[in-house]
Amino acid sequence: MSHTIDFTFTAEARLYAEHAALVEEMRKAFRESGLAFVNVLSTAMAARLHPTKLRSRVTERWAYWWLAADERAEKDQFGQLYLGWDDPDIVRAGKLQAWASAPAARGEDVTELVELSSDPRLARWCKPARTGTKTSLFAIDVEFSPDRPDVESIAGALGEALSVLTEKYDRLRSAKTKGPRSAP
Amino acid sequence: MERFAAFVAEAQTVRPGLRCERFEDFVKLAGPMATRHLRRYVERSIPAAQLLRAWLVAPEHDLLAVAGFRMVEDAYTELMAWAIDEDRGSELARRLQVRWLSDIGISHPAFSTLVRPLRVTTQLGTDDGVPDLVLSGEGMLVVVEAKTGSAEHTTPTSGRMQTEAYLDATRKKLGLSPDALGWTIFITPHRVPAASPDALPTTYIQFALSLASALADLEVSGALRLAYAMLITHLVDHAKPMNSDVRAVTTWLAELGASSGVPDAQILGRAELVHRFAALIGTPEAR
Repeated sequence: MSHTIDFTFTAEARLYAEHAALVEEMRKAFRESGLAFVNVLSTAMAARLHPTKLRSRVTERWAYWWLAADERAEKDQFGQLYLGWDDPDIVRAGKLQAWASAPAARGEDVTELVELSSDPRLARWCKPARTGTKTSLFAIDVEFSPDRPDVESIAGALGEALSVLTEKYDRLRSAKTKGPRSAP
Repeated sequence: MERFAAFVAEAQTVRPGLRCERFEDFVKLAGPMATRHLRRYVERSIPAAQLLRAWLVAPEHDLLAVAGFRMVEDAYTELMAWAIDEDRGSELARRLQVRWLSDIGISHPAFSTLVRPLRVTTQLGTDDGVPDLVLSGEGMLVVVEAKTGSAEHTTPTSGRMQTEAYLDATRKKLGLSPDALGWTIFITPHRVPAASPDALPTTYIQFALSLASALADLEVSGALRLAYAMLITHLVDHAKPMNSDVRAVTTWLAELGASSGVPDAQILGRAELVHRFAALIGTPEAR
C-alpha cells in the first residue's frame, strides 16, 4: 500500500527562491560598500595617528586596528579595536559600534583597561562598561549621518580610543617588565 | 460554500496573508541596481575569459588528465615551476614571473627592475619543512605552498603553520638575512585563506590566467605554445572547485564579449557563476 506524502514549499520559501539571486547580489553590493568604508576609515585613522604606525586586518566579518612599529609583530600582543563591518546599522542608521580589546591582557590589567571607558578623553563615545572582558573591554559608539558619513570625525573617535588604549596598555606592561622598585 | 467562505475568512485572521509589500518594493528597487552591480563583474571578467579561451585545447587532448594527474599536488608544483623556469628562456620566464606575482598583488618596485628571472626550486628541504616552490634571487624570496585536496598543517620543528613558518625557514636555508624581502603565496583550487594573514591566497586558475595574459604579448614557438596550451587547459578544466565548470563560464563570457553586450535577462540567472569566476581569476572585489 503506497502513501502519498503531502508536501508543499511555503509561500515564503517560493517568494525568496524566486528572488534569491537578486537578494544575494544586493548583499554582495552591500558588503563591497562596507569594505570600501572600512578602507577609507583606515586611511583617515592612519593619517591622524601618523607617525605612529596603524596596522589593520580585515576578515569576512571583522575589521581590526592596532598600533605597532613592527609590521610582523603578532596583533594579539597589542591593544586593539575591532568592528563588525557588515552590521546593517552602519549603513541604515549611521550607528557604528567598535570594541576595544587586549587579548593577551592579564586579569588585573583587564580591570584597569575596562575602566578606560570613564576616561574623559573617551567619555563622548564610551559608556562605562560594567562587565568588560579582555576581548570586550568597552564599546565605542559613534553616530553619524548615514547619507554622508563624516569619515574624519569617525576616524577621530576611533583613533583617539585606540591611542588611549595603547598608551595605557603599554604603561601597564612596562610597569610589569620593570618590576617593583627597591626602597631608597 | 458558505461554510468554506467562513473558514477562509477565519483563516485570514489566524495567518493574514504574506506581508510582503516591502519585499516587493525591495525587488522593484533592487532589480536594476543588482543588474548594474553584476554587469560590472561581467564586464571585468570578459577580457580574462577571452585570454583564457584563446589557450584552451579540446579536453580530450589534455594529456595530463589522460595520464591521471588531476589534482595531484606535487605534479602541479612541478608544472608551475616548469612554466616559469629560466629553462624556457630567460626573458619569457622573467615576464611570466613578474606578471604572475603582480597579478597576485606583489608589486614591489624591485620586481619591475628585474633583469633576470628569479631562480625556481621545487620541494626545497629546510630545517622546518619543505616548501613546494621557491623563487629566489636579487635578495628576494617568494615561497609558494600549494594544496589541491589537503589542508595547511604545522611544520615539524617550529610547530607553526606552513604559511607562517616557511618564509623564515627558507631565508635561513638560502643564507638570506631575516629582513630580506619575502612573500608567501598559498595556492589552492578555491582561494582558501592561509593560516598566516600575511600570505597571499591565490588559485590555479589565476596562475593559468597570468600565463595566458603574459604569453599573449610574446612570441612563443609552436611546440612550446602547445605545451603551455595543454597546461592552461588542464588547470582550467581540473585545478578548480569541483562544482565549477570554468570552461563553460569562460566560453560564455568570451562569447558575450564578442557580441553586442549582456542581455539583462541573462545576468541575474548567472550571478553565481559570474562571481565564482571573478573570485577564481582574482578580481579584487571578488577575492
